[in-house]
Amino acid sequence: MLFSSYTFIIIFLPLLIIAYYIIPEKLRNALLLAASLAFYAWGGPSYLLVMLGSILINYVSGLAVDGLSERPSAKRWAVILTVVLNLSLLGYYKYTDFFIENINWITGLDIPLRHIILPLGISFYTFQGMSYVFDISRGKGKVLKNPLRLALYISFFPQLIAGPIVRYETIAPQLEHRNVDTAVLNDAIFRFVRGLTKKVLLANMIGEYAGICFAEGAGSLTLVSSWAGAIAYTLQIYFDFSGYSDMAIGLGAIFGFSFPENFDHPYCAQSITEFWRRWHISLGTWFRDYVYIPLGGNRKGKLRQFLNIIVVWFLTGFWHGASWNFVIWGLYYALILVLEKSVILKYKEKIPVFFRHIYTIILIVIGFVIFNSPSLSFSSSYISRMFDLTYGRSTWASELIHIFREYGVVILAGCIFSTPVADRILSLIKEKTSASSYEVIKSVIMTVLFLACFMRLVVSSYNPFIYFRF
Amino acid sequence: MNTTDNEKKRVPKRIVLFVGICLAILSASLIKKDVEYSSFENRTMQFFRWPDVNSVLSGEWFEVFETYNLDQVIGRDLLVEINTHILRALGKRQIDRITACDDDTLLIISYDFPQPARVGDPFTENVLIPLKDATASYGGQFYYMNIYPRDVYFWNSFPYHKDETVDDYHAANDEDMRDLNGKGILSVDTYGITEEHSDEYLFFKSDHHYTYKGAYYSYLKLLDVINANNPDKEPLSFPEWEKMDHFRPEGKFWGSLVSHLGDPGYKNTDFLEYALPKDYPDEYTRYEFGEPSDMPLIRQDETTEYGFFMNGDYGNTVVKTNRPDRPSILIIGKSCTDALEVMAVYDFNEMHSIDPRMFENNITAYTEYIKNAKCDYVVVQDIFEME
Repeated sequence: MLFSSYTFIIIFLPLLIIAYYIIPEKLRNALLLAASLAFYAWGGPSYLLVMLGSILINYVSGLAVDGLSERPSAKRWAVILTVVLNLSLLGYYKYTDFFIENINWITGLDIPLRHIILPLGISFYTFQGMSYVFDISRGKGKVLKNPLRLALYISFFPQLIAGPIVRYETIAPQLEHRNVDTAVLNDAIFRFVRGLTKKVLLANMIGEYAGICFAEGAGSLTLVSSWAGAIAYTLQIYFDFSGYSDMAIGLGAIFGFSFPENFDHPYCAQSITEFWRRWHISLGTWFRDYVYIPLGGNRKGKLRQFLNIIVVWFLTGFWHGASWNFVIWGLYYALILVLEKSVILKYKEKIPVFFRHIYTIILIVIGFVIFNSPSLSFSSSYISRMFDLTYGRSTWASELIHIFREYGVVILAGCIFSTPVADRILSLIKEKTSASSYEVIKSVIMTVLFLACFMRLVVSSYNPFIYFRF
Repeated sequence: MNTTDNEKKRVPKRIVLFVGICLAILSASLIKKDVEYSSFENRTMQFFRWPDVNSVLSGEWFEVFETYNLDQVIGRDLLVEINTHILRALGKRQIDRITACDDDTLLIISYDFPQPARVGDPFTENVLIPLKDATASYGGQFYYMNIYPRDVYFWNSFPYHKDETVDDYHAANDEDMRDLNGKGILSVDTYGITEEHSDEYLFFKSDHHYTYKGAYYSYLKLLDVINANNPDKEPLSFPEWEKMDHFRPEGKFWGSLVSHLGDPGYKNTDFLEYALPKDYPDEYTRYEFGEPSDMPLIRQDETTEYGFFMNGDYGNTVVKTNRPDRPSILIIGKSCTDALEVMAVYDFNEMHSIDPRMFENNITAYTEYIKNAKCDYVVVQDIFEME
């Protein structure tokens, strides 16, 4: 089930909220677990078993690791086995065809592809499951004897499909004990609607243009349309992903959970290093704590640090998708981060802030072209077109008019709202008005945004019968 | 889980507001009678379906359920209308792939110029050449007919048009036609004649088809090409019109593109034309998929609106006029050839037509039909759904 679907917004969520606050507190975890399983099964129940398998692996592993706490060597092997099992599950569903394609390419064999359908959210819940076992192993959380509680941690619907990746040590106490605060609840629903707005009103509408540019084939793009398409995609992915995270954080808070922030206005960053501290924070910290630091981090000299960065970013890229594009995208960032740490950041203070932003944004935009391209050849053609000062020059003006007229408002809104301006406006209103007026204004804003999102949701299903071809 | 007494007393008003709005929408939509058909969208709306094991396991039922809810939501048409007004107020001309031009012409152009990529090598090798060979097997002549694309015709109305691309299009199209001719396929290209008459009403503004007059000039071009390729035969010539009229049909003529635009405020100036040639044969027999049919040749029924101009889509029609001195023709195409078929009945003794949307989807079915019907001329305008 998608957060931006009628079934979720109008049926599932309101009924769950009512049920949650009506039933006795001791039954609430059971209700949330049942709702989460129903949420996951909705649309494709067959993959529920895969997730339940993942939960079982990590439940047994957690007990084993905890039971072996006095025997470090055996515990270490138990953790390794857990990683192997989890990654095998993820590898089978996500990477089988990728490996077959590459084996075929290298050896000249013709092993048929398996065309395995990727279970929704498997990359996220696999990482959450491993986080549980890692934290038990490191003594940062208590083992869960009750399997239903672990099932709730791994399958809890707000963060199940697209994060944030909530580490076990963060959420462990909340699985047992949650405070419900009225002010938090009011903010939580506002946060949910804010996320919905980012997704439905900004990401989807900006994405229309990005979709056109990336579907066209790089050959037909000019310098103007290629940059506009790349910028549009950069905005789309931010509002899509951060909108989803906002909705997840808001939903978690409605049910008493406090999830970590996943985005912090990443396009305001002044370096790529800073960008990655602000973008998909939960994934970054997961790799930092469970891969980068165990590999030695920056404690074993510069060369080893750079190697660790390359390993982490190779894995980060590969985690995003089974394609060389994602690997190249990860290595692209590894290269930039190594350059920044070794050279660029030393001179950071000497570079005017404006140019630091421009430098960062350009590299981010190029990175997302690689990320969103269907193949390496597409991304290289696309990027070369971004710097082609001759192709289609006579049409640049008409293209600019077209882009500004059709997408100017949403792209401009996207640029504005990717900065903290909305938060600053709200803070200003809070300062200038009484507490009760502020709450009323927020409620009005929420209602208007929600109804606008609902309208767009309905319009997205507007599907007149038409046959375009003669 | 602790909830303090103080917090218990306070109601989270914003959550209550949110839940209230959702439940109001849900209950109003449930109470409202389901809509079966939307004239606004020109389609049947999704009805409620109970789940069964197969549809649940395949995930199909969940999609149907979502579509049902969205189709039947309270105030659906109003929301679509408001959305269109807001987008227009923001300066957008393109809504759901439809661009509204200054003169109210609606175009299916997102931005780039339409590419003449239909007659590529695979299509020629896998479709046109087998059909040509089947036609040649009994001495018939095979033609590929290229109807002027509406988006090219209206290109200069497109607010973001680029002048040089029309020439590019023509050049690419000419190359396509030359390639076809090089492979022994005769082509009927309607560009020249359409441009000659471009000051006339050849295409609807609100619909993706050409008008009856657009079809007429295309048909004249077809006759020209057939005559040019058969100098030793009696030339085919279409007579003067005996009757030509136009009207706006009862009710709203929602052209296909207006439905997509989702703008009930759109001022539709289109009208429908129909015509009858002089000496049109009044004795004929008509067959649908081989079965005798009592349907008229021209549907002069003003309530049929859309179907009237196109004369209806039929999978396989044969009209025999018992004039053995005249040749026979098979026309394969979609809705735009419907209008040509009506005219062809005047010139040809036997008129066969196939609409690929309602015909078998394999090349053998077509080659067999061609060999059995043995028409003097086989004209393919559109057959692209065939693998």
